[in-house]
Amino acid sequence: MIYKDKKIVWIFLLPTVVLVSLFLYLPFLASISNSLYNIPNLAGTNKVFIGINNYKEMLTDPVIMTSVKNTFVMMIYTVVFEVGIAIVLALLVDSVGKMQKFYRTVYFFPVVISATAIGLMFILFYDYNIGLFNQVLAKFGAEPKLWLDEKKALGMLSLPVIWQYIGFYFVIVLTGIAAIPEDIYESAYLEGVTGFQKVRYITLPLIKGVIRTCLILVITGTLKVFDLPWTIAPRGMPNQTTYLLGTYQYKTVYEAARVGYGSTIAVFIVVVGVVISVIVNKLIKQEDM
Amino acid sequence: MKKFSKVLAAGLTGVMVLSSLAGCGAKPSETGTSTPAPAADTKQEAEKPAQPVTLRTVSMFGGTDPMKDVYEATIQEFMKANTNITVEDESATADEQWKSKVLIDFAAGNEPDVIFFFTDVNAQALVEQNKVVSVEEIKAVYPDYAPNITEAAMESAKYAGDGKNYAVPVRGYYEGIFCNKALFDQYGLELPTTWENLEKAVTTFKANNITPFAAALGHVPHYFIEHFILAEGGVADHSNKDVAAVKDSWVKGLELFKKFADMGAFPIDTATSKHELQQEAFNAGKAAMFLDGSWAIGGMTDQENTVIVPIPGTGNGKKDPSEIIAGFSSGYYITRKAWDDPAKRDAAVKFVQALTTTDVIRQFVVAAGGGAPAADVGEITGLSKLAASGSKVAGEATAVDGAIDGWLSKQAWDFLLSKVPVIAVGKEDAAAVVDKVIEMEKNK
Repeated sequence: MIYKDKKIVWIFLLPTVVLVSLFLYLPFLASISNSLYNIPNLAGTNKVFIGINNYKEMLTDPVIMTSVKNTFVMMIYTVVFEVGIAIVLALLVDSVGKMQKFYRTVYFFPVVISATAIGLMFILFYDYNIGLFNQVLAKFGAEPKLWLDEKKALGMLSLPVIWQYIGFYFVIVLTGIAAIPEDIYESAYLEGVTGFQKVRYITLPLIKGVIRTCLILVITGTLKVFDLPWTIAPRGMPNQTTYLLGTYQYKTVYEAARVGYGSTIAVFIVVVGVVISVIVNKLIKQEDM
Repeated sequence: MKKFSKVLAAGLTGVMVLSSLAGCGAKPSETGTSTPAPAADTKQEAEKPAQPVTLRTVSMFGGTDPMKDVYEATIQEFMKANTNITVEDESATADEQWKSKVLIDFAAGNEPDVIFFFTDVNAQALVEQNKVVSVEEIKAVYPDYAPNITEAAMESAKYAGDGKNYAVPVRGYYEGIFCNKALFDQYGLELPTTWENLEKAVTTFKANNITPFAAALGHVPHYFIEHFILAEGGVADHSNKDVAAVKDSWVKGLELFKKFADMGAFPIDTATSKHELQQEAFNAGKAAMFLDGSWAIGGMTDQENTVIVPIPGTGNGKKDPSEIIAGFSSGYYITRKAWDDPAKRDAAVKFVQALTTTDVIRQFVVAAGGGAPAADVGEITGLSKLAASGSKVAGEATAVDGAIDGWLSKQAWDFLLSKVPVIAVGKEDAAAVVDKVIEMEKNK
């Protein structure tokens, strides 16, 4: 401990405590309170206390069930593809001696682009009449496809989300790989370990901690996904089938002006997030990763 | 040294906390509620050099709005004539998200000084929270405020909640079916002036791989909701705010979504496409009809071969063929925040006056493609063929009614919007949706 007098530590922590309390915990407590009211406008006027009626409504709301299901499906997609592809790319780039910086930049680039811009770009990819995908199909003489129909829409919404953040996890994994001491590989080389064996028995076991961090980040991150799906398919397009918890909560508050019910969904999202984080942490620890 | 470290740490912490919260406070001049004297109250004040003032303004004249150019040019001229006033314009395309953003800004105390906004139920929160100033109150201090606006326009732009004028209207709007006349001629079809013509056009275009209606039902089904109910019940039922009393017209009107979808009237991607992309498909000749308001005229590429016709009645005799959706539903508000600010009141009044001169209103009406001007602008010349056809439709209407979202509660309207694509694919029953709307209206 650098400071024997702990008062000074508290003084340094104070700004963060104040800001987090003001902008995170206080609004969360306000959301819990608001979830017990019927609030018919964004100004918060004319609110009526209705107890747990919003929670009762949520239990019978079919769109909530769709949102929960979609959020979990997207979570699986992101875990498998976002982290999976990031690991593969990191392993490949690590084995390339030259141009690592170039690949890092190329793969990381989508992370810094605004989600709205990416969303608009994918709208133009998916559009039935003028979309890039259907133009490519037309070049090969194929019939145009409806890329955002009820069956494909969630997958199509997951695609840009995965594409945007692969680079983020790629950089994390690559940094993890770079931290492995070179002498371990040299010893393995002397033992006659080949390329794939090197990855299977040395690299992957030594970056388990990094992969665990990536998994927790990607799972909790999916619970908050909002911007890209909302830009490409607002209001659960098509036919309310692609709502995620975040997009449904936003729509309920800001478009339907049902602030009380929207707060109920917000509380639900926090509860689901905490429960999932705890479960994921325990599962990963059990496997001794 | 230890003591010095503690003092330094405490000082730095204090600075960080205070600086991070500094933005939360409002300037004294912005929160003052004292009523300032009118600009020319004293000679001494009149002789003072004009203090720099910055006005924040928000309007729906953004994106591809045809009035955007006139609006922006007027602002530039205003700033040239009033060098001490800087106008910061935050205009954007009006959609549900934009409306919500405006209301949130007002609720959070981040409202602009002047805003061009709706005068209907959307303005409820602004009026109820005393966030905007009535025209009556402004005229008490500035008798020359909006003198050129006709009584009829002011009457039409009153806020229904208390019957007072808060906004100064500029021009009225009208809605109708935009038809690609070249395509109608190519297939030997009559314009959809009767229900039979409309259905024949839908089946013929569908059979020839042309989308009958360019429509994004998952994005902007607003105009279809209004027009199908109007086609079924006429202005009499459409204007009846007791939905239960006209339930039959509502149900039959909304059932037309399924009927038309089954006929192939809508594009294959209607549930996921965007309204703007559908307008482009109409412009590209891939669709024969497009339902929208007079504000869409500027975005039409072919001003020669596009015509506007009113939606016909379904044939039950309730709708006169000329009846349309039209009215004054928006205008310029001065916010209470600007009015109570001695530095801004005069500038805000001047700004609204500059935006509502008879000449500017005439320019707005020409850019909007006709519609009723809020002032006596004389004969309007310079309209395109498309705009002239729209203006004719508006002029010949025997009865008009404003849009349904002008009075339906936001909760019920949002529910209705979300159900349209679901009704169209037959997943939900129109009668059940209308029952829920009635229930929501009762509980509002």
